[in-house]
Amino acid sequence: MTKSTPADHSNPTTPSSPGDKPGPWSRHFNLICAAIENLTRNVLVYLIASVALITGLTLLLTTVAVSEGLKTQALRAVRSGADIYCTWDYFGRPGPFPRSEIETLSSIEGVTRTIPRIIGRTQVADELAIVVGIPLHALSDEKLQLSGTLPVPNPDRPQVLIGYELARYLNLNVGDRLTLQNVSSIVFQVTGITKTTSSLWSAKAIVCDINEAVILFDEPNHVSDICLYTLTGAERRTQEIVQRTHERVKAQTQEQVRNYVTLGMTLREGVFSGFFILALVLAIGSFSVITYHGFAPRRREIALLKAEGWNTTEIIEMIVVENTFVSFLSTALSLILAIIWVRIFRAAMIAPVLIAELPLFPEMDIPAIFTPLCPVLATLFSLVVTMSGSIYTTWRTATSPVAAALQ
Amino acid sequence: MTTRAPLSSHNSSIVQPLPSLVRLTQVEKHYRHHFSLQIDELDIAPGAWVAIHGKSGAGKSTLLHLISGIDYPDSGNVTLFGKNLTTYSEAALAQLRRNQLGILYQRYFFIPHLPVWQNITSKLVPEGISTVERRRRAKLILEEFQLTEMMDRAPQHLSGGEQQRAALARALINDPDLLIVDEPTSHVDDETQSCILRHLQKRQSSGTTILVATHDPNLLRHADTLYEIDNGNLRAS
Amino acid sequence: MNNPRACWFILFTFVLLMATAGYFSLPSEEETPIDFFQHWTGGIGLAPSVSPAWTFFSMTPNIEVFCENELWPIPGLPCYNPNHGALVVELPPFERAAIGE
Repeated sequence: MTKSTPADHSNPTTPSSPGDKPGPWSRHFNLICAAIENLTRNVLVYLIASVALITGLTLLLTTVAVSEGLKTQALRAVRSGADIYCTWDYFGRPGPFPRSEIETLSSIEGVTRTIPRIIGRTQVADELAIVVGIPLHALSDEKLQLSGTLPVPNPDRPQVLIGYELARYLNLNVGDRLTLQNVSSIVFQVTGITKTTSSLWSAKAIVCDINEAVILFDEPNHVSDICLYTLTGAERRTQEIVQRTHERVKAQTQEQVRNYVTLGMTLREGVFSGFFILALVLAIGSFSVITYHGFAPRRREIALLKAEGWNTTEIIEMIVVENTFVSFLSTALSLILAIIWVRIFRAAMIAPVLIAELPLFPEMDIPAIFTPLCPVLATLFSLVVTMSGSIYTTWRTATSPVAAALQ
Repeated sequence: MTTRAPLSSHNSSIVQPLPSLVRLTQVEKHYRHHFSLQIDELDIAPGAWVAIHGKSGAGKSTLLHLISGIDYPDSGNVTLFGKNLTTYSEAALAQLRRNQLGILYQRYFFIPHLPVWQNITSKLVPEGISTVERRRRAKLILEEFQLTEMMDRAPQHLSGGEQQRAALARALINDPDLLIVDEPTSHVDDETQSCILRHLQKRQSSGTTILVATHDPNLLRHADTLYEIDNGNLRAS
Repeated sequence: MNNPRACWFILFTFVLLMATAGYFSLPSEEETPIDFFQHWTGGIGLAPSVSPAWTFFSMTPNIEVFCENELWPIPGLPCYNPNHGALVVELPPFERAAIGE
């Protein structure tokens, strides 16, 4: 029972030409365009709704980046370090390694270099520093980036290389003098200061000749550990020989240390999980309330579209497109904010949660790596938040009686 | 099958009996605890102009909502275009609203962030009609209502009369078979009232069935059939 | 779609996504000062702590293989070291079994 509709160009509903007949994908294209129109005309609403999402994402991305940076630096430290680390067993815990045993280790087949080290702690003013005593005469690395020069053995004027964070805290420059708590009679000269691009663990380090460290800790007959360098592929065999011939020597290969670091760094527990879940819950709730559930004009708009002949699928399709765009933009924005937060603000307030002994607003470069996995995870997170916060409420409004929603 | 309603149906001897376009039987709707709408029978023939009047809060809008399918009765049957509304699938009902129904609400209900032309062509979006074509159609119909200059403005920037005309344009964009109009001339000036009346007459003359809820004596005067709702009960008047 | 604003919006989104993809397609870093310092000193520090404030385990677990706060001052206590692997990294004692030897 329809009235006749002869072709009539004055009738607005008549297509202007046969070419205007809609194609099969034109409906979807229209819905995408409608979604974009809604976004561009409601930028402020979506921005406010996305604040919790972007905040949570930025926190997540920063945390993941710093964690990845830490892990990478740690693995680099392992890769660049010794092939085998030897410590002395002392009541079942690491103890002073007798210097007399060093020669026996050097004579093991496969060992190319033996580097004894003294690693200890000391107080400088009221700042705790790590002391690294190494045989400077046996080492040289001109590629080391620092201000000043590398220290050299000098009994008359002991020299040290200090970390950038320690230098900043103590207001030390190259050429300044330094005394340590252990032995105040020794006056060290600062010959070099590491740069912030050096390893994280150089930040509060004092590197000196091993003989100075011996005097510092008054341990002429002991060192803290021995670094062994072996022929390529001979690490395990050398380790076995060491363990077999020296009962009290604990030897760990580089591979074992690497596995250990990987194991520890991939366990995410406690605070991190708590932050993540809290951010997710807050973001979903916030997005849902601001854009749909608590936003009466949006519900009325959905009801009006239903009354005008849109079906639920079409409305949800439009909402999905909107949320996909919001997700992508939130991810990109969060990524930019996270990069700025890490590179410029040095992950303030976040890095101290992940790295112990850091001030709330660090002055040093924080290791952080943004892997391609970051935006993928962030986008998935965004999609979960936006879709969770909108699909169900949209569906509810679209399937409830239109008249009630219009009121 | 093509049917065309007579131009004037006041003389019942001229009107030929036609199958109902809208039919309500034993419909009840309970609304807000203290109100209920009860309709024993209501038949609207194709091409007719049916007017419903009654006091404010009597249930006129509720009745129109039930007929247009945007609300559901608690009991009884609402038949639209020969088919019970409850048997329409969601897709079929959406198609019906897009192609055969035009609704002018008592409150305009525009989408505030879309310009006027996009508001009035919203039902053409899921049809896949291109933006250019939609704009063309919007311009044509807005010309009829002297609203061409307003087409790119937000609806809230229009006066009450302009909004009412734009709302009517939206209801007519798809050249509907059934036009449901709720209080079209309330709170508007005389010029807008005349404009609306003119368009309703024009549509009826081309075969559109018109169902209007109104207090306006001008609209009541042009109706083929008058009904009154009193305390939720419908009776012919 | 003849809305210039929407066109700019799509362009902006596209540029942002391309910039993001471009950032991650940058070549990876070559050997850096991090490696040089570690090579020079034989490898210092592995755990997320800048200094050995509580125990060396918090910073160099390959040299001090467990947290000495488990033995001192009161042996057998659960470790109360707040820097024990910092707050988000769990570093167990460096047992051979833990690394699946």
